[in-house]
Amino acid sequence: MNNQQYTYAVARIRANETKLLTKADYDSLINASGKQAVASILIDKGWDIDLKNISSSLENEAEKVWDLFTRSVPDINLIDALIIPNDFYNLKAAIKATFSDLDPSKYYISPCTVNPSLLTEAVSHNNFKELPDFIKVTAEKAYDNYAETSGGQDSEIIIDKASLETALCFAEKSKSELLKAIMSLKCVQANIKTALRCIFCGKSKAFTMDAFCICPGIDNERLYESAKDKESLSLYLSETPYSYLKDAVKGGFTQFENFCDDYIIGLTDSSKWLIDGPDPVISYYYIKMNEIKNARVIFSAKENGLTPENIREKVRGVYV
Amino acid sequence: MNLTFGVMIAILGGVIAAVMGGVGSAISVGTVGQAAAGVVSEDPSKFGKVLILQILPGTQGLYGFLVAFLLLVQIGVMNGEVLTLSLAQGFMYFAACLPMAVGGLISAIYQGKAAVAGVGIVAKKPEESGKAIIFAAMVETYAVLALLISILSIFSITSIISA
Repeated sequence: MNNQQYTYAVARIRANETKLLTKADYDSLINASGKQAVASILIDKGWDIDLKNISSSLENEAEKVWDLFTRSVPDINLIDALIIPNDFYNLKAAIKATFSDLDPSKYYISPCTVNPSLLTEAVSHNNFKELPDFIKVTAEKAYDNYAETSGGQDSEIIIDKASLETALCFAEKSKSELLKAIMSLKCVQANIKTALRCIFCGKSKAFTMDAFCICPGIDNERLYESAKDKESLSLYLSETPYSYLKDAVKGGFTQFENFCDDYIIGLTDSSKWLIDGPDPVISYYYIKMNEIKNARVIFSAKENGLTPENIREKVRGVYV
Repeated sequence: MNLTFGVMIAILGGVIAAVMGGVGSAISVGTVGQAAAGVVSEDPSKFGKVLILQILPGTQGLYGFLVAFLLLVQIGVMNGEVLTLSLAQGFMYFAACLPMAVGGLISAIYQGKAAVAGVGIVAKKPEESGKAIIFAAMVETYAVLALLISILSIFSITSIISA
């Protein structure tokens, strides 16, 4: 990938970074009197917030980011890894909704690379020929599994696993070390969570191993064995390229997830001063998604009357 | 007309100085232009500030042209009274053009990179645009030094030949 081709995109992103939420903005949002006040602050920062439909407004913000990328990045396909998980989420929604006689379009999220109507069409007719190669086999497998078992668990596992592996595969194609590092972390994070949950719920080893995705630098067999005890898991991770997770796994699930989210935001710091290449674009995407996630948390917290202290604990890393 | 092999080598030196300086400037002005367009598409009020940064790496092309022009004047190509130059004298002029050719190309490319980074500063902190310009302008020093040494060499060589 020619880094110089990203000069225009990176400059546009730098200009947009002035609209990112700062620590002071987050303080104002957290201490805001209610949803209306939160919406006002976000509108001042250039967000389009409709209080009647906050979820949709926040989704539009994510679409705006992708729209910016499509208009400025030289080859958008190279950073598709960022939104590939949305396609698999939509596939899950399509299968579940179709089998439940519901309208799947209500559950689709965007931005995505596969047209949701194509997914609806494919799932409703049990004909996946028109779907792109990266999702076709998974869609068939997940659909058949759902039809055979009349339950969503195995089907979901198939889709989640394929989502992570496909995103990692796309990240590797992108030649961006940052994207590869993020996707690898997401894979190992998912495997650790799967191992801990399966062991806690008494699932068989075969079931757990089947649910693991392929993760570079991780021996899934050893991961499963070590996950029976958090100290062993920590010891095993210290021998892998993910040794930075060794302390985080000793705590609770939420603490572990927070650590991973913060670690990803930390990885994006290295792109702050780059003048070209895909990394500033990728960083901006994660930072914006983090902002949207934080905005969703704050809106929800205000609706449920949480105190500023409680909200502060839930709000994740700030870039600016 | 005394179109010797020496004259040809001397002219080649001038051509290289003009071409390499011009290529360096074209690459860099183009790259900074891409970054500047990115910023202006988000905030058109920053046009003036980013334009200065875009212009900066364009000077090497001008310096290369100046060196080539001076060389052509000095060897008499411009007034039709071409000097009779030996091969060694031709190579002396050729060597005199090299600082501008090489220094111009390399300094233009790196000045372009500094200017692109400067565009990033203007995008995020427009009040610091002066500093962004200074960072890029620092690279100009080496283009000016290359220009001076090329010009001084050309004049010195002419004096030696005329003596």
